[in-house]
Amino acid sequence: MLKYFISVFFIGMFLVASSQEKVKDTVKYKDRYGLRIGIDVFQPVYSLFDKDRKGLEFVGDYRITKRFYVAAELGFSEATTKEDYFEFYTNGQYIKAGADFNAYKNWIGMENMIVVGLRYAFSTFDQTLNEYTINADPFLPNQTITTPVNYNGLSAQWIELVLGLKAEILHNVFMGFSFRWNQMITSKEPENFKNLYIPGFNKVYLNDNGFGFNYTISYLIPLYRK
Amino acid sequence: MKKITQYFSLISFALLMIWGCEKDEICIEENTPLLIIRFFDNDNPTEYKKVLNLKVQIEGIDGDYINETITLLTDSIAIPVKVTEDTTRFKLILFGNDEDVTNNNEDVFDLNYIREDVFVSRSCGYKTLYYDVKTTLLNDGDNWIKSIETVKDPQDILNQNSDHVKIFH
Repeated sequence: MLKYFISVFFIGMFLVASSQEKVKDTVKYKDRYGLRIGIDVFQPVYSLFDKDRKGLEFVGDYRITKRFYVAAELGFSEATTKEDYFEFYTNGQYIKAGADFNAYKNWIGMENMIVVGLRYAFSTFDQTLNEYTINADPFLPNQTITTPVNYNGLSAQWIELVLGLKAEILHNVFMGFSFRWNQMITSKEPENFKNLYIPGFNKVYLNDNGFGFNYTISYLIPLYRK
Repeated sequence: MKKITQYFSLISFALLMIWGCEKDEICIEENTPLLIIRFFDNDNPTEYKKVLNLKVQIEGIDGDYINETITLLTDSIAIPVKVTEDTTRFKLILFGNDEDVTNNNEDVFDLNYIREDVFVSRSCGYKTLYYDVKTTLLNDGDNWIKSIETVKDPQDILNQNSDHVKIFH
């Protein structure tokens, strides 16, 4: 048994020694590491065409390894949604945090990204049911209730799968976009109504999932090279 | 850069596919339930008895109410109940749908209830449910309806799975 340990020890020594022999002679390029902060320009442009949607989102990421970044989004949104039988207004804020993986192998000196990411997202918001019309036999006179009903202090949490691109268009300036697929974990639902729109999540589909998109312009603050 | 363009196209295409497969939002859930009435034989209260040429009207609404349950000869009808008021006054006119107006026999009854609006879904919106339903037959001296009662006491109208009101004639 002791013999066995000794031989393992010697093999180990040999491995350490052999790895130390590989001293590289080449000049190694060092990647830039830093904090990248930006803003979503899609929502402000979108609200020019759709007066019922307003929102602002700040994005940021911080490089931790060659291919991994911690990433976050912070935003708020206001939306009026009109359906066949009712209309409601949503107002709230959200935070999303997670990681991005760069699936793109850059040439030396380039910092483009194909982003595959995951986020945990949390939103707090209020809903106001502006009005509704009872869905009943068309023979009957319509019943429309126009007294707004407020549902405050609602919240939701969900997971986002991120797919996107980021490219350096000017020195330290990046442009990018991402598509997001959202899956709800839990939500605090209003009584006798449903969270059909959630800030950051957007429209909530039947099976509690949703889609998102952003188009960002961001600036890299380089901190160190590695 | 060429490679990044290819990736870009691929991602966009994949996501457009997901977006494209979005479900059409059509209301398929049950909305505000109709009142279901079954007609029974007054002499033999456990037997159904069909009604000939029935015409249905609701006070305050112009025209006759027509649907597939109101046929030439029927032993059960489904009719709408007002969602704007807590009372609906129905007029059931026996022989009302034939040419001869002299044989018409109009009987009137009131339905009283408590309303509640319940959220269904994005596409269906809200429906009204009726609780603690009560019936009152108006006596005009020549009633073809001998008596009217709710199936249960208290009776609610929450769905159209079974009858809510029995009419004996």
